[in-house]
Formats: sequence, C-alpha cells, structure tokens
Amino acid sequence: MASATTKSPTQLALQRFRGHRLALASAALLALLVTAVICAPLIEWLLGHSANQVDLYNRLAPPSWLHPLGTDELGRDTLLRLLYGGRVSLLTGLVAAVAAATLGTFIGLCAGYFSGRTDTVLMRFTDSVIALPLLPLLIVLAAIDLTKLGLSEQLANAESVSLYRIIVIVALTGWTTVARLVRGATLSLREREFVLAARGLGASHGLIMRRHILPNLLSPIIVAVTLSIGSVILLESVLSFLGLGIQPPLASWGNMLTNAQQLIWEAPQLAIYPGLLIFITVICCNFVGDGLQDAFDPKAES
Amino acid sequence: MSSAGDTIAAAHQLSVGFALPGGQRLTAVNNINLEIRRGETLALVGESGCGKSTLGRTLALLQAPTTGTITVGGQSIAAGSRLPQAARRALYENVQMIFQDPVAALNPRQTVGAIVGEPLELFCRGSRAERQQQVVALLEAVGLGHDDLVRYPHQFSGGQRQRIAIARALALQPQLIVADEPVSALDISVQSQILNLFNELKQQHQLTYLFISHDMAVVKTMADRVAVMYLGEIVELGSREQIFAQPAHPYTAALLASVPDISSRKGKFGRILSGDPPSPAQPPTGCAFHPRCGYASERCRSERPQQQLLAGDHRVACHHPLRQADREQPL
Amino acid sequence: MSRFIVGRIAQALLVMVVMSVVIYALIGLMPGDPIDLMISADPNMTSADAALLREIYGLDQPLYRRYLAWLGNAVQGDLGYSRLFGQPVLQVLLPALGNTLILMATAFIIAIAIALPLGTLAAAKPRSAFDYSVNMYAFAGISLPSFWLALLLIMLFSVNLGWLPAGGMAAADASFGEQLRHLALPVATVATLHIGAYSRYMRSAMLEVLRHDYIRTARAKGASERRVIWVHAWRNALIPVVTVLALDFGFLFSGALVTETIFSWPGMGKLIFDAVMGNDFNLAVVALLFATALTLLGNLIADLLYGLLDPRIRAGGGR
Repeated sequence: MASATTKSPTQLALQRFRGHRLALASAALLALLVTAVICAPLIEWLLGHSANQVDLYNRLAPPSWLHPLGTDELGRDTLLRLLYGGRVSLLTGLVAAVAAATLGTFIGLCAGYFSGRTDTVLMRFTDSVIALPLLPLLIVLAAIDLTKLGLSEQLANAESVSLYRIIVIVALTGWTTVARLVRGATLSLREREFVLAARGLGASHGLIMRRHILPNLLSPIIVAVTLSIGSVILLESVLSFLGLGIQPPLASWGNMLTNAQQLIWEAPQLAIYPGLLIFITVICCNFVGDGLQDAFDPKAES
Repeated sequence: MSSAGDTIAAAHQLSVGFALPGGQRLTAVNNINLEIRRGETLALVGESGCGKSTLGRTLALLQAPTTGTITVGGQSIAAGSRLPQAARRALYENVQMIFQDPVAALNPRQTVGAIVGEPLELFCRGSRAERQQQVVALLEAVGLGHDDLVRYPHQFSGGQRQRIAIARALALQPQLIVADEPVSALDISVQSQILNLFNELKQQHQLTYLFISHDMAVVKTMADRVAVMYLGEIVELGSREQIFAQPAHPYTAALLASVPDISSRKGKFGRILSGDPPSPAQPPTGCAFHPRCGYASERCRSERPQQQLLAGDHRVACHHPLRQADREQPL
Repeated sequence: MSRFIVGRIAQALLVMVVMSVVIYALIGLMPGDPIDLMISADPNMTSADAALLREIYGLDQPLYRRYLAWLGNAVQGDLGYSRLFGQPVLQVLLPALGNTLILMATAFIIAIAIALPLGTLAAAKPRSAFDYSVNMYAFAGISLPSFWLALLLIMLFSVNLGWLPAGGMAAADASFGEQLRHLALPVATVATLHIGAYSRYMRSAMLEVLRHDYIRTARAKGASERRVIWVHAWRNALIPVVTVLALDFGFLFSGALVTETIFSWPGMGKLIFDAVMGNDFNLAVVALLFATALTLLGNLIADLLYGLLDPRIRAGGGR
C-alpha cells in the first residue's frame, strides 16, 4: 500500500481537483480576473488617463481605442472603473470571507471541543443569529453613524472606512455557517483516537486544537470560505448598490450599478458590465468551491 | 516472568460513571480493585459494553474517575483531586495507550515522523536531531524504516499503522502500556504478526501490558494473568492457567465455551452465553450476572457476591463458584 | 415532543427580546436624531428650543431608560408615529405586510411549482444532460445578484419591449390584469433566483431517498419507473424539502428588500429601507422587529414541521 512517492492528503486532493474541469476553468478565470485587477495601474498608464478622471465633454462615449468600454455619465473610463471596482469587490470578498471564517472557526472549535454547556450556549447563540433577517439588519449596521460610537469625525468620514465597515459587518454576521460546520466536525474529531493519544501525552487543549483538530478541519473550512467569497461579493454589491456599502468616488461593482440604474434608458451598457463581472466572479467561486468539496471528499456524491 | 513482582499500576475502589441525556447515570466501572504487576501481561476480558475500555482509559488517564484512586508508577491520583503539573506529567509519561482502530489512531495530517516524535517533543527529550534518531530507532524496533518518516498514515496498511501507533506508545518508554483491542480490527494473518511484536517488545523493553480483548484465543496466547469483567465489575481474576483450566465463575466458563476449540468437546464449560448483557444504566439486583446464569439461586437475585479467594491468588465474585465436577459435566 | 416545542418557542421569544434591545440601540446609533431633523426643517429654532424638545421627547435620558419607556408604550399598543408617513406606525406597517405577502406568496408558489418537478426529474436521471442543465441553472440562480437581474428584466421588458411597467404597484381599483402586469417583474426576479436553490434541495433529497431499500423493492416488484419516482420516492423526499422551504418563507419577508426597492413595490422590505434611510426611528424599529418576528416564526414552523413530518423525531421526543 505504501507507495514510493510521498503525497500529503492535501496534495492528493489537489490532484483530484485537477480532474474537475469546470472548477479548474473557473479557477483559471478567477486568476485572470485577479491578475487584471492587480494590473489596473498598468492599464491606466497604457491608456494614458486615470480611473477617476472626469471628462464632461465625453460623457457616455461609445467604445474607442482610448476607452475600450466607453465612458460613464461623468466621462470616466468604464474599463478602468471596472478594474478598480473589482479590486474593491474582490478584496472585500476575500478579506471578509476569511474574517468571518476565522470567527466562525473559533466559535465552532470552542463549542465542539469543550462541548457540554459551552457548546449549548454557543450553538443556541449561533442558531439565533442564523434565524435573523440578515439583509435588513445589515442595512441598519451599514447606516450607523460611526461618530456616535466615539470615532472622530475625520476618521468616520475617511474614504476607506466604508471598506473596513463592510468587512466588519460581513464578518459579524457571516460566521454562522462555518461555526456550525466546524463544531460538528470537531465533535467527532475530539473522540478520534489520535486526539485521545495526544491527551494521553498530557498535551494542552491549545496544542490539541491547533495540531490535531484544526488541520483536519482545513478542507471543509477552505470549501466554506471559497463558497462564501461569492456570497460576500453579492452582499457587498447589494449594499453598495443601495448606497450603504462602498462609498463613491471609490468604485465597486455594486455602486457602479447604482448610477447605471438611473441611466438605464440612455446607457444600458453601464448596467451590463459590473453585473456581469459580479455574476462571473460569484459563479466561479461557487464552481471552485464545489470542485474543492468533491476533491476533499472523494466519497461524497457530486 | 510473571512472578509476583511489585505493583506497577493499581485501581483502588475505582468507579467511573457517565451522565446520560435525560438525567440517568451509567456506571461503567463499579468499585473495582485491581493491581497490575511489573513485567506481566494482564488481560482484561469481557463482552463489549462491560466497561473494560473505560477501565483501560481511566488507567491511561484519559478518563477521570468518579470515585476511588488510581496509581501508576508510584504516583497516585484520587477522584476529584488535581495534581500539580509536574506530577501529572510524570503520570502521563508512565502510561501510554494503543487503540483498536489503527485508522483513527493516527492523525491523517501528520507524517509518521511527527506522529512518533510527538511524545518526545512534548516531553522535551533531546534536541531535534536526537529526537529524529530516536524516532528512527523506534520505527526500526516495530519493523518500519527510515524511509517511512516522511510518509502519511494513509499510505500504510492496517497492520503497519498499528506498528506506528505502537512506536508512538513506546517513545517515552512508559512503565505501562494499555492496549485496547489492538488486533481486533486487523486481518487474522496480520494479527499474529502484531501479537508477536507485542511479545518481542515486552522482552526487549521490560514492558507491562494491560491487554484488553474480547477474544479468548488471543488472550490465551498473550496473558500472564486474566481479569474477567462483567457489567463494570471484575468477576474473576487469576493466572492464565487458572482461568483457562479451572474457571470458577459461570460467566468465565461461558466466555471460554464460546471459543471454537478443535481439541476440546463443545460446551465443555457450561452453556454458551445467550442474550445480551443488561444495560449498565439499570443493573440487575444481586449478582449482575444472575439473569443469564444457569446456576443462579434465590441468593444470587438478592445478594451481591463478594470477592473470595480460591487457590493461590485466584479470586472470584460468585455465590456458587464452579467446582471441578461442574466443569466436567456438560450441560 | 412537547418539551421540544416549548423549548423552541422559549428560545424564539428570548431572541425576540434580545433583538428588540439590539435593534433599538442600533437605530439610536443612526445619524442624527429626531430633533436634528426638526432643526434642519425649522431655521428659526434656537439651541435652547432644541434642548427643551430633547427633554420633552426624553432624548436626554440614557439609552436603557428610553428603551424601557418605548417598551412600556409598545406593550400597551402604542408603537408611535411614523415621521415619514405622518401616520401611526401600525397603519403604515400592515398594508406593507399585505403587499409583501402578495409578492412573496406568488413568487414562492411559482418557484416551488417549477423547482420541485425540475429537481425530481434531474434526480430521476442523474448525470444526464437534463440533470446537468438543472445543475448549471441552480448555480446561476445562487450566483446572480438580485438587483442586476431586476435591472436586466427592466431593461428587456420595460425599456426595450415596453410590455411591462418598470415599477410600482397598481392602484387598488385597477383591473386584475393591470395588477398582474405590475406584479410580473418583481415576481419573476424573486422566483428566478429561488428556483435554482429549491431544485437543488429537491434533487439531493430525491437522490437520498432513491438510495433506500424500499425503492429497490418497489422496482423489483415491477413498479414502473415513473411510479417509483412520483409515488414512492417523491413523498419521502418532500419531507426535508418542505422543512427548508418553510425556513425560507420566513426569510422571504425581509429578503425581498432589494427587489421591492428596485421595483418600488410598497412592501416590508422597501418600508424598512425607506425608514432607515429616512431616519424614521419609530417606523424602523417596529418594522425591523416585525421582520425579525416573522423570520423567527418561519424558523419555528420549519422546526415543528420537521418534527411533525419525520416520524423518527416524533417518536424520539426531540432532537
């Protein structure tokens, strides 16, 4: 049974993932998007104008060499705005999903590992959060006046605050799925004999959780994070679309659509691009997540 | 080999209970006294659910006792008490456990080197390089090699995994090894190899085993002494010869009768067990075995039998221990 | 079982109480307060007037005092006045609830009517082209931004084709056809998004059931494949699906916030949005609490349904 080459479970999973064509194509597409978004300044330089450069004589221009996707209602270059908006949307998605998963992992790990009363309290809490109407509450959270929480006027109105705020909001509300997942898996892992063996060595709770439980939870967590990047991007876009998320002039795919709605009669193309990018990104995340799930759990039926 | 040496581990009036959902309590181990002598292999036998695994885990410090005291390597810990860190570490160092399921016993995300080296690392035995050497020596002792250090558990067969688990248990050179059904998940052909390994290692490292099993054939090849458990209590304790040739408790006799043995007539010692053991959450009155016992009398239904000493250190808890005549008369 | 029900209800009530505090506190953290708004509306007001007004309205009190006062009034049926609509909160809320119900119930029924057969047929022929298409559609459904779908529908049916109104709700005395024309796009938006997820639930529930022995027995007895699927398996597969649907129905009350806002459908979601954006404190608190209560109720019903439909849980006396 022991083969000559050494492959960790993760390497084996990656091998299986490579057999999943749709997921692989999605991952490639995502990689392309990320590259394009990172290269935004380069493209800016190539085109010779900046993303926020207003040109009122050139409003709603059709595609041209200078503006490959045309311009918006203020004469700004659509392509560049899309790329910079993509930076914001992708970054928010990734960071908020990871933050939410970290919080969820911590809560689920504590609940599952210590079980008993800790578990009951934490899981009742989780169930209650899950049972809340998320979007309306998010809107309230997004509308909060930060100066009333003691932040200085200057800080509260800084441009990047809307970015941090949305990340915090999503992390505060999005941890529940991972918490449940991690708790369930931890409950079964803690009874595994290799965990008992570590306890029989007098290993501390922290070490057991870090070394023996967490690494074995990694694959479901990675799947959950991948899937939730998609839903976070959706959430961000909704909030930004409603004017509560990322605040202009910082572009995000969501707030680009806010203006597009008003221009839907004159310039429908402005409503197409950002939405299409959101859609493609989210569906790719979902395909990749699905592929990873199959790869990590070869027994499960797809 | 199994001469009455000094005691290496002991349970004194030990009980272990669990709370069940719904407020019930399950007493898995009920007021047990047991001594394990240096250098012996003490087999703990009984049907599944009799509490033998719980007793083993308690002695391996994986389960807190409800009442009573356990002693390992001269260090005692009473139920409810908390030892200072150093004393706890000494306890953990003295006893290691080997589990039944060789798949679950090894962390799939660790390499073999990390698994076997973990005890050494936790107890700060030597430098990194010295530990590495020790791990290789341990792997060689159990029949694996240097090449296996960087492999992962999923690359090994069941028997090989059990060898890895044995190497890990050996790493700290503990005084007592608790082996909980270590071969029952393995193929028959592999079983004997692992049992031989157990015996070799015992010789080389002067080990003491608490060997938990439900398989009387395995017990017969391994044990110096045998303790028979039924429903949380030790009902009979004696040398291998005493238990196998002169079982005194009807339950022991029934266990032996269930072993297919070509050389002896079937049903030599009493009837083969029928039915399931009662739930330890609701033990019967009197002798716990009376509902399934062919010899049960009115006394057995009401009065709990105390342990009595037969020949030598052969002990039994039964109102009607089997005599030679009973054993030879097939039912 | 009864212990299970009582426990669930108690938990929901506790969450309700906690959420009323949380929501009240959060709304208090929104920009400005009612007096600020009055000041901006009346340039003649002095700061002394404002302080006086704050005292009259109790706004100089600490948060917990204000909450208790609000709670006391609320329990007596006084939910306050909506600043935005100039009406008692309840009179604004109830019609909105009705409008949401119309939109959501229609969308929900259409989504179920399409999704359950889709999911079942996909499960009947796993890995077929049809199964594959349903799966792709499901992925698209959960990945589509609702507001973008709404914009696309408006672009197509209102802007380009001019067939349907881009928003609003028909007047109460309008013809039934007119009502339907206004309902069409929002319903299409909500239904399209949910069909994907629902068909996935149905498919996996169906596949799970088809694995069981009694299905094999039914097949062995010579039952036609159609009978096996639609009679033997379908009923059992519905149990988990119904639970998930009940759960979702609770969320629908508030989940349509985006759709309602884009189509100017005067339902709960739009009401909450408008109240929050328009600093209508009384309305925002109560509307949010209503949405929370309805969602919790949906969860509760889903839990109880699950217990009722699954005999294993009923016999076991709880989870």
